Amino acid sequence: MLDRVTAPEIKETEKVSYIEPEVRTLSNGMKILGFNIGSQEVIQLEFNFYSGSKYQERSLIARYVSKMIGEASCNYAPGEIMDKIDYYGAFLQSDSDRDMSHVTLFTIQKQLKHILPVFAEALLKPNFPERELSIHLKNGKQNFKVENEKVGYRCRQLFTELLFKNHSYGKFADEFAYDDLSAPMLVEYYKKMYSASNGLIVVAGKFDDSLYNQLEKEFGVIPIGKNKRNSQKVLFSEAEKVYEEKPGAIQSGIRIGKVLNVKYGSDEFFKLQIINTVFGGYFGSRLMSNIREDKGYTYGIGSAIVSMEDAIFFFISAEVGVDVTNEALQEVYFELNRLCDELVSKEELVMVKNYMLGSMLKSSDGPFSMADKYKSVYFKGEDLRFYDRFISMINNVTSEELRTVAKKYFDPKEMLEVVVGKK
Amino acid sequence: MIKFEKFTLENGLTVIVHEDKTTPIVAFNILYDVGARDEDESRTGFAHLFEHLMFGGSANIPNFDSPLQNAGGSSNAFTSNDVTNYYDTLPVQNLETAFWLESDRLNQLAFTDKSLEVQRSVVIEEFKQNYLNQPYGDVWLLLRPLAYKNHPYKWATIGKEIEHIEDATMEDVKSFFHKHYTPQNGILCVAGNVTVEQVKELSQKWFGPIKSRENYIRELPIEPKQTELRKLEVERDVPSDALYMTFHMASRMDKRFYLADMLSDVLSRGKSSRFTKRLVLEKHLFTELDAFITGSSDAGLFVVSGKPMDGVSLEKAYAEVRLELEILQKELITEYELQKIKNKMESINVFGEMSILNKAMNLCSFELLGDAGMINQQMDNYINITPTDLQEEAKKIFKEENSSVLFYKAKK
Repeated sequence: MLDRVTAPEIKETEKVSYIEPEVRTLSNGMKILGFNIGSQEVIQLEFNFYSGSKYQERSLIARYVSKMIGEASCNYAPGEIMDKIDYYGAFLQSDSDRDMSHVTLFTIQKQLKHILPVFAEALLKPNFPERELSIHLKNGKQNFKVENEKVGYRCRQLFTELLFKNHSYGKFADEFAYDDLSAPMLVEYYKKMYSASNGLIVVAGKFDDSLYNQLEKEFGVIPIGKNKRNSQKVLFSEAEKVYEEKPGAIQSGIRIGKVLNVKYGSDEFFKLQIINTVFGGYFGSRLMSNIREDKGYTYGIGSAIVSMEDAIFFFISAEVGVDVTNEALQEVYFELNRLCDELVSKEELVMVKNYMLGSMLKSSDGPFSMADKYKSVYFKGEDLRFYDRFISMINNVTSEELRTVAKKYFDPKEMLEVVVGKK
Repeated sequence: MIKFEKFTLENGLTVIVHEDKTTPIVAFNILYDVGARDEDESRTGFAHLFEHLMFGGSANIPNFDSPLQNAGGSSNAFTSNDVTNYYDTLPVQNLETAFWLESDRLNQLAFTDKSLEVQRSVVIEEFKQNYLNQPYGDVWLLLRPLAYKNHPYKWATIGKEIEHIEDATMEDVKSFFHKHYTPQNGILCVAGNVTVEQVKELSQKWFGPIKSRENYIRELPIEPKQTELRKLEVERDVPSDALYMTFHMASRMDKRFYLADMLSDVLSRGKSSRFTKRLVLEKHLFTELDAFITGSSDAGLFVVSGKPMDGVSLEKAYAEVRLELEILQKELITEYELQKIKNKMESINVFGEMSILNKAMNLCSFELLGDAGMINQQMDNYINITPTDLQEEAKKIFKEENSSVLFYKAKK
C-alpha cells in the first residue's frame, strides 16, 4: 500500500548558477554586458540610460521621451518604424521608471540583420513629432483618469507621495501635466540624457561574436555626452495614518510601509529580505495565511522591499472588502507585532529558506532572466558576489537574528498607513 | 520543434513528457477537462470556486502549498470557460513532491467546512476586486449574456452573480469533484530535465492506484445562429465612454478559427496594425482600440473593444469601426501586410518556447483538443492563408446581424 502521508524526501537546492557577462566597450565608451547563454534563437537588446523621472524638471518628460522612441526619426515618417518592427516580427518596448529609462528590442535571431539598422535609427535619430505627441498625451490623460478611479492605484500614489515628501520619488503627474508638454522639452531631455556616458547596453540570448561588431557599427556613434547619474538618499519617512474616502467603493485599497535606512547588499539587508518573505513575500506568508486563507478578507495581500537608487522601502498592500477594512488593518498590525515579538519557528524558517532558494533558481533561468538578475545588482554597484552572500545568509540566518532586524526596522509605530475607499 | 512522449495510465490519465536539459526547473502541469461551461446555470462560478478549494488540503496532506514551498516550489492555477489548469514549478530534484501532492488531491480532497467558508469569501473578494470595483470591470458580465443565449459561454468564469458563490454548499462541492475530477479527465505534462522512464515510474506510483470514476459526457446546449443585431446600452460611473462589439466565430478545431485569429491580428496586432494606425493615430478617434478572439473550444467570439476620444460619440466610434470591418470585406489585404502578420506569429511562437511552463501548458491544451503534436503544426495553419481566404472569412464574420454591441456610457 502506497504511503500517501509521508512527504517524499526533499533535496535542498545547493547551488544557483549565475553567469558572468562578457564585457565589451564601444568606441564611444559605451559599455556592453553580453549574456550569450540561450538555447533559443532569440535576442534581447536593451539600452539603459540614467534618465528616469528623478532627473526631469517637469513631470512626464522622462516617460514621454522613452515612449516616443520609435514613433518617427530623421529618415522615417510617423508609423514607418513601427511598421518595420512589426514586419520583421520584432518588438520594441520602452519605459521609464524613477531611476532609469529602458529601450529594448526583442527579435528572433534570423531577423536581427534587418531590424538592427531600423532600431538604431529609431534610437539615435528620433524626432518627436508634435502631432503624435499630442495624441499620446491625450490618450495618456484619459488613461490616467481611468486609473485614478481604481482604489489600488490611488492608494499607491498617495502612499508614495507621503513616503517621499521631500524627494522627486514622491512627485506624480496630475491630469493637467498632460496638457502642456511640448516636443522641444523632449528633444532637450533626450540630447542631455541619451548619451554613451550615461547609459549601458545589455544584450542577452543566442548570438555570435559578430554581434559586437554590428553593435559598434550602429551604436558606436552615440554621442559621448556626460554621465548625469546622481543620488540624494532618502533615509526615513514619517509615520502617519491617512484615509481618503471614495464614495461607492466596495473595496478599500490599503498600503502600509516605511523607508528603510539600510545599506543595499549588507547583512541586515539580506535578513530583511528573508523576514519580509516570512511576513508577506510568498503564497504561504503570514499575511496570506491569516488575512486570506484564514479570514477570507481579501483576494490577495503581500509585502515587498523595493530597492531604488536613492531609497529602500518596505510596503504591504491589499484590496479588502469595505466591511472588513478595519479588521484587515488590525490583523496586519497583529502580524507585524508578532514578527517583532516572537521567534519564527524552526519549521517555518526551513520552509522559507527552501522556498527562497527555489525561487532564486527559477528567477535565474534563461538568458533574459539571468541578464535581469545581473542588471538589478549591477546598477547598485554590486556584482554576482551579492547573490553568493544572499544565499549564504539564507542558509545560515537564525530566528533570533531575524527578530532583531524585525524589531529594528518593522516597528508598527513607524509605519505610514494609507487607506483609500471606505471603512 | 518541441519533442515529447506520451502515454496513458490504465485509469485513463494521459501523461506527456517533454525533456529540456537546459533548465534546473521542472514544470508540472495538470489540466482537467472541466470549465465554467460545465456548470449548472443556477450554480455558476463553481469550476473556479472549486479550483480554490483544491488548495485547501487533501485526504492525507492538510495543506497543499506548505510542502511544495518546502521543496522550493510554487504553484498556481486558472479556470476558463473550458478548462481548469493547475501548475507547479520546482527544482527538478524535488519532482516527486509534485507527484505526491497532485495525486493526493485528485485521489481525495479533504472537503473541510473551514476551507469552503474561507474560499467562498476569497472568491467573493476576487469578484469585487476584478469585476465590480474597477471601472469597466463588469463588461464581460454584460457581454456574455448578450452574445450567447443558450450556450453556457453566456456566463463568465467568476460566475453570473455573487449569490451563486455565497450559496455553494458542501454537497455541491463534493458532487462536482466526483463528476469532473477523475483520472481520465486529466492531462499531465512534466517538462524539464527529466527522463521518460522516470516520469513513467513516478506516474505509475502516484497516479496509477487512483481509480477512474464515472465518465462525464458533455452535452451542451447549442447556440442558435444569431440573426439580428443586438444592442445594449448601460451607464456607469466611469471617466469615459467605451465601445464593445462581439461577433460569433468558428470553434477552436475548425480551420476557420485561424482565419479569424489572423483577421484580429490585421486589425490590432502591433502598433502598425490598422486600428492603431488609422483610428488611434491618424484619425485620432480612439485612445485605444483592440480586436481579439476569445479562443474558446466551442464556437467563440471575435471581440472589438475601444475607448473613443473624449468628444467622439459612441455612434461615431461604432460607425468608424464598421467602416474598417467593411474594408476587410471589400478589399484584399496586401501581401506585405499578410507577410508581416506571419512573421510576427513566427516570432511569438519562438519566444513562447523560452518558458518551460509555457511549453507544458501548451502541450496539455493541444492534447485536450485532440493531439499534443499539434503544438508543432500551429504555424502550418497560418502559412498558407491567402488574402482571399481572409476576405471571405471577413464577409462571414462581420455581418451586422452576427454582432452584439455594447455602448458603455460614462455618467455625466
